Amino acid sequence: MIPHASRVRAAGLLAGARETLSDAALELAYHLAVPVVVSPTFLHLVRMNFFLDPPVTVAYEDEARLLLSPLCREVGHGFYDIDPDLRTLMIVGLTTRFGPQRLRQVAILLERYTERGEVWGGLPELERAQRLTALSLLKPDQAASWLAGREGAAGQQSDLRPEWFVAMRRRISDQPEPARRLAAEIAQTWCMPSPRWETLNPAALTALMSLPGVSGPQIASVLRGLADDEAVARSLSATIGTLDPEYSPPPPPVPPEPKQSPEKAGRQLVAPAGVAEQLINPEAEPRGHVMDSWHPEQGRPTGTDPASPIGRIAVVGAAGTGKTTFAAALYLAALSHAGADAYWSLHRAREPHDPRLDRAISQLRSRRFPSPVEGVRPLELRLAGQIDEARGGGRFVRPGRRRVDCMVEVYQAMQSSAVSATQTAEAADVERMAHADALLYLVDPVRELAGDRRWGTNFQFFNVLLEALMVELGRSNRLDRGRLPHHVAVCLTKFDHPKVFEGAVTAGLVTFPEHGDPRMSDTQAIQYLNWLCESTPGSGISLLRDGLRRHFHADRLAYFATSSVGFYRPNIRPPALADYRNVVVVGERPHLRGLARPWNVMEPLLHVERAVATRH
Amino acid sequence: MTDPRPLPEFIDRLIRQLRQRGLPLGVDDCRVLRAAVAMGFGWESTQSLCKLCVALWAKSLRDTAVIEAVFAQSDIPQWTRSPATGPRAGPVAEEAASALAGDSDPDPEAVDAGVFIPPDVAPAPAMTATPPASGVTGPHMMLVPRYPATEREVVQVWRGLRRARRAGPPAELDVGATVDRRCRLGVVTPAVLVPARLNTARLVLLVDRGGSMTPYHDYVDHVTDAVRSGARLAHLTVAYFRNVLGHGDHWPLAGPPVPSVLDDLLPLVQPLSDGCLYHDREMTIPIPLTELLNGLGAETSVVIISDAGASRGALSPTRVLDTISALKALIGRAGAVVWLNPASAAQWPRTTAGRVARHVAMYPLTLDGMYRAVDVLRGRQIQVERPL
Repeated sequence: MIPHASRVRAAGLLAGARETLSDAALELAYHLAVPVVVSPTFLHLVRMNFFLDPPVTVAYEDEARLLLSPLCREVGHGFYDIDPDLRTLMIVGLTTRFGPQRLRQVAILLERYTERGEVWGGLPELERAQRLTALSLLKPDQAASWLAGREGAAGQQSDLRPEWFVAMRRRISDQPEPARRLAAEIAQTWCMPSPRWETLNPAALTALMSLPGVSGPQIASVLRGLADDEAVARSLSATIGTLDPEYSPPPPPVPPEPKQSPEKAGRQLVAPAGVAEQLINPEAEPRGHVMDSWHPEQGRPTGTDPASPIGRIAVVGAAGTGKTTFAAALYLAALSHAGADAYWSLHRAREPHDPRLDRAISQLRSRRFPSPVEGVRPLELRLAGQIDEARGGGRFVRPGRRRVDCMVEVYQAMQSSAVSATQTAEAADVERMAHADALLYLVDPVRELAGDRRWGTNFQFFNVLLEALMVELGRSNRLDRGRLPHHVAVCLTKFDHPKVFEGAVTAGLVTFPEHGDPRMSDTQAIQYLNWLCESTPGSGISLLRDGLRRHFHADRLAYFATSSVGFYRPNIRPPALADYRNVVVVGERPHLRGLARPWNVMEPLLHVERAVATRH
Repeated sequence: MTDPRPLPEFIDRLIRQLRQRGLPLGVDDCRVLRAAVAMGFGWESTQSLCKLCVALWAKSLRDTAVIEAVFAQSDIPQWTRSPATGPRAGPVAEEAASALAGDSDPDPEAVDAGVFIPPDVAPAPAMTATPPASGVTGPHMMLVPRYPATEREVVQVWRGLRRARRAGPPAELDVGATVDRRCRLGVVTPAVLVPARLNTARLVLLVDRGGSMTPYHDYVDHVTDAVRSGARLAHLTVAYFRNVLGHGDHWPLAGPPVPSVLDDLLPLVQPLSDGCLYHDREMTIPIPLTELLNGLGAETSVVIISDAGASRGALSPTRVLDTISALKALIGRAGAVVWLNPASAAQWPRTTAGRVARHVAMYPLTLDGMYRAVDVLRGRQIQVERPL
């Protein structure tokens, strides 16, 4: 059995390669797992023999791309080898995609190629290892017999070292069964209990889902089979739901009737739903919920389920600021959010799923920008779960766990200043938006720096938004000391754009850790906004900054630089400053070079969620 | 012969697959095959048809391997002749043969549509020092590489690099001058001889070796071998290096390597004077860079073959500056300098290669790229973004 950590590493390598290699190139890569080491010539011959004719063809350039990918490592003499655990995974991929017959064909090619002599650098041990590998796939009994015979004679004839026999015996015994399937391997790696907390990154799982021969529903099917225990099934249900849109999760367990005094029971009835549950049972798991209705007069959404969301967060922004992309990016970012203190998930809030949101997520996953959403109804996500958070203060700080449960509603753009604020406010969405607890306000700095006025300016939208909110909340008498009561996270989007990123780097506002993505602290984010104001005099962004400070409470404002698609990361290396752009324009349409790696999109959401939870 | 019948489907498929593998088959080649079959060749079995195709179409061992592999791998109908007692040809074979032969049917009287099964080779019972062959006969495998440009094509390209000059003893008859002289003098005069035209083009190939170039070694060697064997140059020098020809001073790179910073440094970069190259592919016999530079002249063209970091998608400011330093040294002494990059052009942007391509003519190491490189070496003017 392969230790879990190596399996996770192998799956991670495959996921990393998925970002830079096409489906056909990955299928070619599976073939490289057969020999002991690979030479560029052998790879070329594999392509010539199996990938020259439609439907699956691979270009010559992909050969080098493959050998230089994280799947292969150079071992000298112009040869490349593959990590043993990864090799197992790739052979399973080969048999999954092409059947066991292809494995035999590659073995025949390996044998014939080796028979030409002097093709493996004149290294006799390597040449024999290749011959034996081919033989073990074509005639396993004959290979075992030869190995046993030669191993017995190794003492007298020292042409092969004992280590060679040990290595080859292990290699042959590690040969995966032809019946194994890649989806099953991935699913087992995903949910296998780990003694040292090595787990497969959710982002890696997303990448593995798109491998040739693998699909989300396949992995979900295996996971369902693995979840023989009800508790395990519940713990896996979120993952399965992510992988398989058709999946309907098992009903939540019915909690035992709590033994409470009548006073406590009474308090539970009047206290806000969710908070009451938390008071009674802080360790309670969040429960699935669909919000049924909302009444502005009550100021808070209500539902038939007692576990209503604690807060509502509205995501707003001018047309073209990337709200739909942001919504999809939030969903993807939550999948890969690796905080050790987080036990929450961000999932679709509606059942059945909103097809607009599903389409946006799917498009972003397949490296395309989501198309604009139709209809006025906001896209809805629900952030639910628990988060570790220190409680108390000073010497009395103690660890605690807080329930997280809020609706995230992504609103479509309101009309620009061409429509009056009153008319805008009459729209049902504005009424609903105004009564949200917090706003994630998306500002597109690129249009200011580039002078692009196709969608209007950020300030034009901001002006309309402010008027609408003031009118609505003034009417319901909910202004707080004359200002809007919302917590606001101002998200300066599209940070990956060269006009923004290179300027911010030059201005010294970005720090580059040795590993991982670039970072921008809260202080730097404020400086970044100031820098934008200085860089675009007359653009209205300084008016926007001043308007924010005037209409919202200063202690409820926070600034973030965000990027829904993130930075390009070739292989598994951190993004290089010289080659960070994840967006390329093909024809006239922007596409992603690598997978979407949302950068700093969860942080503003968690920030306002915490602020809202503290207020409540 | 009346109008020929249409070719069977598998022949069409065969030709299409051979064309995909680089065999330039045209109408004449098909006509030749039809004529040969009409004369009775290639009827005995699939193997004999394969041999016929090899005889007609293959012009090298590589072509032979390609044709044999396509015959073995494709689902071409298999048939074999039964010498005396065989039945009539199977429908597919009969159709194939008669269609290929047109109306002049040579009466394929004994063709068997059975599948050809080569004899299975039993492994030797004795324990051998190396693992025994499996004896599996299986499908035929193509074991000859086929690169983006064949040897013949590479040779044709590089023969275009010519600087013809008459040199040496007079050996060629100058007809015009001879006639002119006789007409002018009115008496019989000896023929006017002139020295023969010689190609005086000298070429220096500087080949990056190792690292990210390792996957391209075979193809680059294939190209350099072809140039060496068939380009008919006055002089060819092939030298190998690793990443850069040499290292310049430590450049004052303060701040992020944004494009404007590198451009500002360009005037400060001095031509490289110290570096090391190698005579052999294993990079064991060094050549000082100064020796190579001293051998350059106006007649010498320099071609650099390197991916310039494009394969790994890397942009190294130091490598950019070192490369510019080397280019300044080469451009100052050689007649022309071009860069052939084995990585596809789509990989150049945002890498060292993309930066270098702003200063020197850079083309992909494809047939078209080599043609364009030779054009530049022959004197065609091209514009680069920032000439050095």
